[in-house]
Amino acid sequence: MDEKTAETLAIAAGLQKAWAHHRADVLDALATLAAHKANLPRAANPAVEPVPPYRLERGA
Amino acid sequence: MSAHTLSLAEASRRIAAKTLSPSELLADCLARIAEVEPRLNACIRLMAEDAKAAARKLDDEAPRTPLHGIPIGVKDIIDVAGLPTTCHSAQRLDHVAAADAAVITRLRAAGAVFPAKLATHEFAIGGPAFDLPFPPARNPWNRDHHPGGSSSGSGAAVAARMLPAALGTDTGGSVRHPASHCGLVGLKATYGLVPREGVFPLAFSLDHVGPLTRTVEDCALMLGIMAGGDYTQNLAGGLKGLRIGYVRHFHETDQPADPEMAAALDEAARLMAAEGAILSDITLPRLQEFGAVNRTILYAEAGAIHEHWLKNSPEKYAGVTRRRLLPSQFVSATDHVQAQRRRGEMVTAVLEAFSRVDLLLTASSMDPACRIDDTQMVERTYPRQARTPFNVTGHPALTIMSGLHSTGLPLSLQLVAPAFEEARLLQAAAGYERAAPWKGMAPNP
Repeated sequence: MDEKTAETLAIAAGLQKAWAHHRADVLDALATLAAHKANLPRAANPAVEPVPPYRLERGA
Repeated sequence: MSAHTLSLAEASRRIAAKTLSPSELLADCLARIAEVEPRLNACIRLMAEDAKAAARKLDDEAPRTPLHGIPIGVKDIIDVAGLPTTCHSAQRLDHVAAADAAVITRLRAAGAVFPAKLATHEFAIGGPAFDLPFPPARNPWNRDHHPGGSSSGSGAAVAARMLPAALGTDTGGSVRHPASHCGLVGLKATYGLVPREGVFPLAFSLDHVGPLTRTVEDCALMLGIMAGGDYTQNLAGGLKGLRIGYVRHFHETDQPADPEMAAALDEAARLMAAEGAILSDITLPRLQEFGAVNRTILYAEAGAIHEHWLKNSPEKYAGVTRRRLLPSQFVSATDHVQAQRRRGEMVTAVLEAFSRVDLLLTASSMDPACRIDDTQMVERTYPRQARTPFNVTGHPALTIMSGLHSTGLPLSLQLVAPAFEEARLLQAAAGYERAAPWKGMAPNP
């Protein structure tokens, strides 16, 4: 990822201070996340529900 | 035999028989801490005087539980009333706990005493690190190597015979990792079985509190108090007739293990079969998928916890913690839901496996502990493990020593049981422990 795009993402995430003082760590974080994203499997069924499901307690 | 070398169970038996007092046991443990702590950095804070006062009171009482007068170390993300819970971080140096964590309340009521808060990776994720308010714990088997983490001080303290047991926490394997590298028994019980109240969270839906001990019996005694119940009843049951699914692909193809680690796993499977277990191969989703799901959920949950500090005081984290937490601020809501959806399918896959077998046998770590100062090897080897799958699914998982590497460092294996079947898990681990020659091996830190 180029630095301009990384800066845009960092500022959008509110990480101005980290971008100013720990730029290499922010770039490292974006690369790490991209690697995990590549390995993240998608559910075969597009309608499958996530775990844990939201549940309203009885009597709430 | 010095009292600090006794197992928890043996110390408990002597206290019950009045041949050892809680004060004598504590004094010997404190002397051991004074001897080896300067070389291991396992402790963040000693509470010697508080513990001595508690032990003196217990000297005059009849034991109500097996933990009466037993000194237990506490990972410093777990609250003890009136003491700082630093999380090994400059972000939290001023935080003082108002109340005991629920698990401390249970242990204290059972008669345990708490002589030390123990080192951790910063916020249970960042370490080993040398740019924090406290130094990183070291491995008692070889002080140039790390002890595993994030419950690093817990592993080092119990392996070094400073304390008979310690509390750790486990979000992606952080009880079982130090157990693997320090030659201990580490248990992550079924999600929710041990209360998390008063424990600083890393990721709410993945976090577990668990014991690190030197024997399976000690682990069962700790769990009995931490979770409530008697987990010692089946310990003599052995392995005969248990159907064990061997998840080979984790360490053979997903993340090929160190050859000695792989050989030790095969030898353990052979030994379990010789003891009467029925071994078969089981296939689960790939480790890389489990890892990605675990990390995505962890990022989403930890990101909410750390958002304020990441935005306003990122300089107060160790570099490694900052690098491991910053991805949390970029994870998308869509990816989080995708991970939670896949998590459900992974639970189903493990449930399906348990329709055919009673337990699973897998690797824990793929490698023995690397040098603590070798940053590249730390980063390469930390994710090479098969523990995160069972944080994703919530099934109980136990790590136990499976031998010694040619470098002299411990090897390990992992056993996994269906939800709430901790008694069966401990039964099998005790059976393996009796058959394997590793019990009693100790480091010389």
